[in-house]
Amino acid sequence: MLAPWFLIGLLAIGLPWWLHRLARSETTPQAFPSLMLLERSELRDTRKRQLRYLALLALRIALLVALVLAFTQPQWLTKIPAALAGQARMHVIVLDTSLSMRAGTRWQQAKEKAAQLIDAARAGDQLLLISAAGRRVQVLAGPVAGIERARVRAAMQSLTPSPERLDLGLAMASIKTWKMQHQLPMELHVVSDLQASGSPLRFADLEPPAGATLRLHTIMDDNSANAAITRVALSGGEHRALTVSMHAYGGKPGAGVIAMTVDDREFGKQAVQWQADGAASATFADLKLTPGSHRLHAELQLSDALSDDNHYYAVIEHADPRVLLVARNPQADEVTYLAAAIESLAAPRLIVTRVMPDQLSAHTLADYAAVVIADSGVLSEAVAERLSKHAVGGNALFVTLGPQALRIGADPITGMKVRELGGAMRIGAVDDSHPILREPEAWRSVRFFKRLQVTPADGDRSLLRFEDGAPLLIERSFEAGRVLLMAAPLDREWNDLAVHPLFVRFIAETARYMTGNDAAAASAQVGDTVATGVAAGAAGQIFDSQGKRVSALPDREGATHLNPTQAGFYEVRSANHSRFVAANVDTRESDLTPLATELVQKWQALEKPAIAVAASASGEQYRRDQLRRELGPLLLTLAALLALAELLVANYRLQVVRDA
Amino acid sequence: MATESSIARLLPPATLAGLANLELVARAAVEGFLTGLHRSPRFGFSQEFKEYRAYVEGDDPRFVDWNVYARTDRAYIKRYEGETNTRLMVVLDASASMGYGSHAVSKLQYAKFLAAALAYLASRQHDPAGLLVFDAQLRQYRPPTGRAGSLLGLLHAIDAVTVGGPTDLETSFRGMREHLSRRGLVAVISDLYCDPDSLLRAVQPLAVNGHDIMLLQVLDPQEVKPQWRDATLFQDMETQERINVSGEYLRERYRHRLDTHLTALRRTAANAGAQYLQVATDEPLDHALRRYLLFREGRH
Repeated sequence: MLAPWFLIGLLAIGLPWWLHRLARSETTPQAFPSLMLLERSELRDTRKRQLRYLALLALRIALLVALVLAFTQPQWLTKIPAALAGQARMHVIVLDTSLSMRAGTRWQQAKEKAAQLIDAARAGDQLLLISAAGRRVQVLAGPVAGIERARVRAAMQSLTPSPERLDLGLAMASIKTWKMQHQLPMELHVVSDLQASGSPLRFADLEPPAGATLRLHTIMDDNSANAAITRVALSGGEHRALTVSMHAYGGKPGAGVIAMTVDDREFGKQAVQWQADGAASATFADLKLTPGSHRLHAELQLSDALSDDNHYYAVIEHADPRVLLVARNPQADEVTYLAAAIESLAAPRLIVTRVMPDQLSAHTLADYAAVVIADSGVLSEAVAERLSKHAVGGNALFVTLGPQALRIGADPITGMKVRELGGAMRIGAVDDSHPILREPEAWRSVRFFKRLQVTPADGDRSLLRFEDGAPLLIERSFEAGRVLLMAAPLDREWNDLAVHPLFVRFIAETARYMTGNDAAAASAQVGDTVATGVAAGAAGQIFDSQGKRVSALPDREGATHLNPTQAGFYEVRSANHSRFVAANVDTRESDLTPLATELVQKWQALEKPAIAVAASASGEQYRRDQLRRELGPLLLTLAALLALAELLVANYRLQVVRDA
Repeated sequence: MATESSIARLLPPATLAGLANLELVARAAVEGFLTGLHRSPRFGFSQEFKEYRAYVEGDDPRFVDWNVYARTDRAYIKRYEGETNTRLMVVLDASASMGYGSHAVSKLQYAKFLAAALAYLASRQHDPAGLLVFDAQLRQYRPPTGRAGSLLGLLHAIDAVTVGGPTDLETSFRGMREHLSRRGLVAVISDLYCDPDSLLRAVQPLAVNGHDIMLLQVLDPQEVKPQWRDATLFQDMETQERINVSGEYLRERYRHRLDTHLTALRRTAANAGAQYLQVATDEPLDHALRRYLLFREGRH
């Protein structure tokens, strides 16, 4: 019985019982010659009357019982032949549906192998079919008895490989977390090409569930030579250039042609040659882009094992050469330093527009590649809210704090509380993995005379920290955009950063980073969760590369996030604007090299003894000897027959009453 | 002339009810009853043949036996016991309760059969018969008469009786006394739904005046043995009052209460000097008549 809580429905039997007693209270008076010999009775006497129409009542109760039992999903345990009972197994077939399975004949081989495993299951065995790709490890069919293998086979036939990557460790971990209801010894069949790139960081993650016998069915393909585009980057000065990087996997050199398309228009083709297991690149010069968003599509025109990774999609936000610098006094030293540093950038060459906060309403923020705020304490609430929304829409802000922020005690954009922190100090920790912090040693020589203390929230990234651990530079994601917060003014009374040789490079890299000059940063991978830039609760629609409307993530409100399921461009339309999100396949799937034989053997050796299962199996021996049969359909049929009989009997009884 | 078997088929009350002609009903009942008795030499209410005597001047020529005269050329007159004649007065209860019937024949209908049969029997023996109909009061009076052809009128009067209102035995019987000045047989046909004391007060004055009183209580089978198994809402046919009666009472205690009531009525009748006979409306009419006459015979 899979849903025993439906048994509470049996309480409904009381209804016909009660009605059969109550409905018999005669309301039509019987004429009688004289009441002198009769006695008036109490009401309770009428409730003690015996039940009539017992057949009708019995039918109604039986109908209710049949319906309730049908809802509890009862199962009938059938004995299987004793010869098979002791050898019954639970066959869990994990079918790799990652991108690499599209290569050559791998998918066909995998299906044939899975079909063999399904057909080999005996009547007493149980079958469970699982597909594994990306973060989705899901049950497709089962567990069902071996004699119902047709259901499993049908589920397998409808399956196709996805464009996602399979992490074998993640798949194993997912299977281990499932609470298997069966008590049979498990045989875990992994039907996969066992890519070397699919192995997890920790080898121990490959450990199969306790008690399971691991059976690896490696799908091999002679043609493992494959090439993939790995990156498209924008470079150059005023006349920009696109650099397309590719990588070849497999044992021999090769050559091909890379075609570049910009906004659905062919931009050019470049021949490219590569060495065995080597990288190559092609540069498309003189790229003249108008301000705004542009879609780049690079295609490696080559016939290799895997065609999906021959395409690379990217969205580039062409930087407007203007940066908006918001300051209370546009002529202050701090503003001058900032403007000079930003304008020193050679590529892209940026022009700074200085405005006071009360003049900001005259400017359209979308016209600027980046917005820099000197001492955010000068912003009114309305202006701060406008800038926050600008960031949420996929833009970047660089904010410094200063005396005004200290005066009001908070940063109006991030909401972080601000207070003074005494004591001169130097930088203690630098996150040099961030693109704007390439010189960690140089940072340690910057002196800070006065400091401000802010408290980052969960999820914030502290890029620079003082020696005492207090954060100086914090990055916070604002949905699709970001805010860089410097907890110090660029004032020489506070620090000597503005006159430090580091300063110009730092501001220039920050400006480059904020303007989205790196095309690689504007593409996501299939299976990722991507912020679309649509605010929560706001109207928004998402369309895939075929123009079909895509549902947003079910646990997210509105169209704030997207989970791309295929490579290509996704268009996000909201009330204010339209933008594109590029999705590419994971290039780790491009390397079709299988796991080394030694590694596979080592994996096989990871099997854990079936301690728990063996103990329970001996106590639950009878379960092995039984097959489950669904009784729900039978009970529903019975309920239908009872309903028909009840109709006939009720009709007959009511006729009698009418005649009476 | 009807054969014995054909007459027997007519006698069940349900069959008699199908006959539109009350005279035919009465004749069928009496003839069937007589056939059943095999021409018993002793029958009748009061007049039983005793002897012939020679006709003398002044005798009623209707009583001359013309057959004897034809054979012997002498006029003889039949002589009967009770030569002074017993007048039959049928007292018919036509109250609303008499309209009850759980099958094809209501109590009033059965009472009318009985009344007609008695009238027919009296007429056959040249006794005058009359009719009194009552419910809460005296509704109809037809004086006894023995004239030829009076039977038909009496039967028509019985046939025309319909159910009326509630019963008031004392008031009705008080009204009857002025019509029952001469002694005779008074056959009261009623369901007797009354207090036994009330019955005593109604009947006793008539008995004191020398009337021979016969109480014929007519009851429906459903009144004798109710078939309701469950609690039932009843409505009094005379007062329209309603009460809910439990199935337990109907099954167990009603019968005891009815028996007590009937015993009291029987005792009251004996105290008042009246005869009491209970008949059910599903009883064949000839059986009822046989019991009645045998009962009468036992009295004499």
